[in-house]
Amino acid sequence: MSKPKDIELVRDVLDTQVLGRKKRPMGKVDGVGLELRDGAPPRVAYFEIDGVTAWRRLGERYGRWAARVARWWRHTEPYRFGWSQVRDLGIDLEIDVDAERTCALDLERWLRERFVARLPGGRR
Amino acid sequence: MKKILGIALGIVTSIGGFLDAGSIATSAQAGAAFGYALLWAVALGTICVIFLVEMSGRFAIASGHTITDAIRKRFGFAVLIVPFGATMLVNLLVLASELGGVCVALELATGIGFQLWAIPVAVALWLLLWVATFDVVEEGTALLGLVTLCFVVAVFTLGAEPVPLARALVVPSLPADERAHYLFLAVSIIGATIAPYLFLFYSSGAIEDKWDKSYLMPNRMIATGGMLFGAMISMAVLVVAALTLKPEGIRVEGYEQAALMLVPAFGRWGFYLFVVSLAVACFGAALELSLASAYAMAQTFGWNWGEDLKPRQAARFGTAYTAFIVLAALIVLTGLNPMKLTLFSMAITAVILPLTVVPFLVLMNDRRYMKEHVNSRFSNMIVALIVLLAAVLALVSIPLEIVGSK
Amino acid sequence: MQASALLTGRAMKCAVCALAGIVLAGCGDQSEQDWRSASSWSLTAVVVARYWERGDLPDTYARRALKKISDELGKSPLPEAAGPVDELLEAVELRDRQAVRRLVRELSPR
Repeated sequence: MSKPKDIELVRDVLDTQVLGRKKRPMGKVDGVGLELRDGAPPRVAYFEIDGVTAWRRLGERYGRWAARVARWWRHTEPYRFGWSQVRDLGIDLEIDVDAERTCALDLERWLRERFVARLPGGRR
Repeated sequence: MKKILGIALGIVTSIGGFLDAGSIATSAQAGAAFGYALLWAVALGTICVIFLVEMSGRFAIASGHTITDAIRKRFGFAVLIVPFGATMLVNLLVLASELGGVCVALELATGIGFQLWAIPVAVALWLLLWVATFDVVEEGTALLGLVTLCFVVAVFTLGAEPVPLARALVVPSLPADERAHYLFLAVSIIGATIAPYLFLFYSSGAIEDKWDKSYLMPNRMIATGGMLFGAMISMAVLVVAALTLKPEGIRVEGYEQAALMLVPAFGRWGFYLFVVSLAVACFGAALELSLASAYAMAQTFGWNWGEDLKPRQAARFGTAYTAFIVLAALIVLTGLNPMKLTLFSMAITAVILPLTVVPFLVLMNDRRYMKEHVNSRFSNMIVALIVLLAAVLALVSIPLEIVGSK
Repeated sequence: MQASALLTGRAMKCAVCALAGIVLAGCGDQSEQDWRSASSWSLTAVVVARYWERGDLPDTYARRALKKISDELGKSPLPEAAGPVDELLEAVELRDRQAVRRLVRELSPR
């Protein structure tokens, strides 16, 4: 399956693994943003990768707690992308993005600098 | 030809890796206290785990997903978080048990208290994962784990009668005395045999090795052969305990008592074989458990994961197993009786089993994931029955055991 | 009105009796467990000594095991049982195989 014309958001997109260029895992589709319009059906505005969004789906309290924790690694906003960046939707959602440059990998980068690099063998 | 070698390696590593602190502790206690009577529990657990492991491989082949990944996609984050959280907690306890097992083996060999070994062993474990290639590590420890075959040899050396053995395997019975403890042990044995981390880990391995449809039969053979022969070692531990400890009136309340069980068969070698078996089995299990837990986190949140990724490439993954090992080491440092910890974590495993197995069974019957490889009604029934039985028994027997052992 | 009050009274009594029964059964099991445990530890000590005397167990293990058993028995309903184990421990520490053999013979059930 490559880029389909019709998709079921919840079934096929939500909670699907997202891969960037070179099949680099970026996270899961944690949320979908809809644009509500008067006199027209809602439109998908963006797809979102953010742990905080996922926790917020459990409840506001969890979302706030997750947001507070995420500030430790300076992660303050979700990563969003649009349908135009989607290359393939099958088992995983592949998008045409350089994963390393996005804020989806904030935690990864922070741990790499603060923790992994400081341990023996962590710089390889 | 290459496939046949692959199957053989798969089976051999499954056998070598089957025994761990949980199966050693539960089987030894069961044999020493109740003779052959609890063999049916090992058999039941084995049947269930063969089905689960085969399904796990088939799922990876048919759907291209790992189980954790698919549970999130199919049921959503909110549903996944429940079995995920429970599995993480139990995995931590079991990891602490495995670590404790290695430390106790070292204490038995050297006389230096097990708590003092917690940090060195944890560091060794961590270093191996951090620096080495997982493939070599896992297969290496699994091959070393073949030393546990000594228990099977002991069964023959001690001249066990096959008929009473066979009867106990197939016919469950309830003793007149100590029923609560008997049921608790039955539940712990089942939990020790059907560890969730086992079949979750298996699906990750299948995805990584890029198993395609041609692996359907090899998968079936590895699952059946590996688990069956592995379970024989578990049963051998029980039988040996029944033959050498029960007649002496020795109950296994600590590993130091279990250490005596191979002496009648092998003399002084017996003691050392037990110690080495315990150490190797538990170390191997600890490696697998640490990895499995990190995989579960990575697949839940969508991180980079994989056996041969360097820590720099998968920082969250590496941090995850590091954190796990540290926490497990802390638990061992508290000095909690390692055998008691092992038994309880096995029983708790049985309680949370349905949380993982039920979503998994739903997936195994979903044509969108399984295509034409959906489960048969028989497979569904067997697994559902055994798992529910185990959970119900666990909920009943754990409180009774707590009351019974202060 | 009266009847239901009586019934609840009787039902309450039954419930309390049942609860007391369960707790007592638990406690009863408890002391039986302790006895079983003490017996198991004592027998373990004899077996450890016997195997050690034959040269089947290393010294370090035998000493530590006997020490642990002595401690466990000290906490048991029969702390006097720790006495013979301490004797065994002493003999093992002195590597006195003769003494261990004698003690094992004395302590063995038959």
